[in-house]
Amino acid sequence: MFFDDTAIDKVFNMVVTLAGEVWILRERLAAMEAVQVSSGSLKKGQIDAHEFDAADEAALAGQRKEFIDNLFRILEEQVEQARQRARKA
Amino acid sequence: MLEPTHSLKLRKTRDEKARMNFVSGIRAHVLNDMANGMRAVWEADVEPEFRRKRRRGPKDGPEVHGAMKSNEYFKFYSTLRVTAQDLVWQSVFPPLDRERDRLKTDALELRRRSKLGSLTLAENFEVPRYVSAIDVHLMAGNYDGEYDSDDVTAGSLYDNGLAVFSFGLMGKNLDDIGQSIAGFVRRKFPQLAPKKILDLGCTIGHNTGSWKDAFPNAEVHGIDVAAPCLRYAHARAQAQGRAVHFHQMNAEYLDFPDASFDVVFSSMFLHEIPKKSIPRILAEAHRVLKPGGLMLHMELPPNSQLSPYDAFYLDWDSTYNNEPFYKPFRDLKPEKLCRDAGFDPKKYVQFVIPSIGWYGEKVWAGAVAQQGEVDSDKTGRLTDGVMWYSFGAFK
Repeated sequence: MFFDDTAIDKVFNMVVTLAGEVWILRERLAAMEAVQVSSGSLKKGQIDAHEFDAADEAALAGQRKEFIDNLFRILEEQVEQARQRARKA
Repeated sequence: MLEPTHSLKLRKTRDEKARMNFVSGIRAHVLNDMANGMRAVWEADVEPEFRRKRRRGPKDGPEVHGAMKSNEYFKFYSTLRVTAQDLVWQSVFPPLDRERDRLKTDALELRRRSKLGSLTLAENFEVPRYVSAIDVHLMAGNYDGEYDSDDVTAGSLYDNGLAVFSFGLMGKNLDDIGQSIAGFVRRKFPQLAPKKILDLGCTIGHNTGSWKDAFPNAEVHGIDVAAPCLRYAHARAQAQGRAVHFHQMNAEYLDFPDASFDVVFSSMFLHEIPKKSIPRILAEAHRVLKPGGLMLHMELPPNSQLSPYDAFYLDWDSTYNNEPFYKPFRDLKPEKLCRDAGFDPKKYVQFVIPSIGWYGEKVWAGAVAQQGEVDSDKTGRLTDGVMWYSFGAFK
């Protein structure tokens, strides 16, 4: 263990492990694209060139916000507790 | 996604776009949701504790900062905001590295082809140390970093980075400040009818062009110390069909004759300047203004007009976002600055102008008749419903 708080070493280990899993997903997506290109249902570079239309873009923006809110949800517990205390006071 | 709309915009892969969208989303989360959460934590927990211990409320921003520093929510807000700031620039580097040569060629071609406006770079120009020595708001290379002849990299980094950074609040063309304020001046002071307008510290000219839109017959000039931003600004203005004259010049020593401009404007500029240089810049603005002309600076609101909590909130950048001159500037009193520069105190003006992009033209136009509130959780903050603060004086 290298850091003053050993928890940091453990969290570091988890971040690297998680990054490895993200990379595995990328390779799998690359494989899926390659298979589709070879079977003719996708042109090479088609995904990179794809532009979402306005409706898709708006739907994704909503999903992205939900994703981010959910990612940091645990931090909002402190805010909710503070608000509850303020209401009682 | 929000990205520049002109031909110099970076071409990005699907993944690069997704990364930029994600970073914008994180920025919006920190500056809207978490900013509200942090205020709730302050009001419910930290402030009552401060009052119990000291038997009084906080005097100023630094006292709020001192009390908030150990709070867990403040730490998460801060570390996420610093991370997001880093990721803003990181999200631009890969397409920028790939497109560097194409940008240089396109910018040169735009400047060669068009007859709109002009670009004048100075020979042996000395960039002041307060620009050359720091990477302001953690932007690698700052505004003036050059990597090649005819380089426009810093301009492109700023243009594309600002689009990610502002998550839509600066408008599609990143000119919400310019559009809101130039349009406001046109409606509020119809008798001004400026013929010559100067924008100080214009970077990529994103807010300079708005003055040409508001006053199509006026001659519009923008100055900056950073050559790569000015080259980019001129090419960007050509791509958008706007005639603006860009000059490499230091706002402390303007190379324009006395009484030559009707409007001298700046936006988000003075807070990047050390305290000792600001009086020189305002004195130069006074010198080049014609009698009856207007000097107007869009800025973050001064601490003297804010509650201790709001002062603390805006001062965050100075401590954590490599903005060393931001708090010292905001500690100054704008009225005194104008008076010391030679302006008549009776001719001092300040405005809180709603963002035209956020509120729409109707609400924005209504602001001509009303003075907005300086000490509000919207003024000067990049948050939903932002209001732009500005101050200055007539000569």
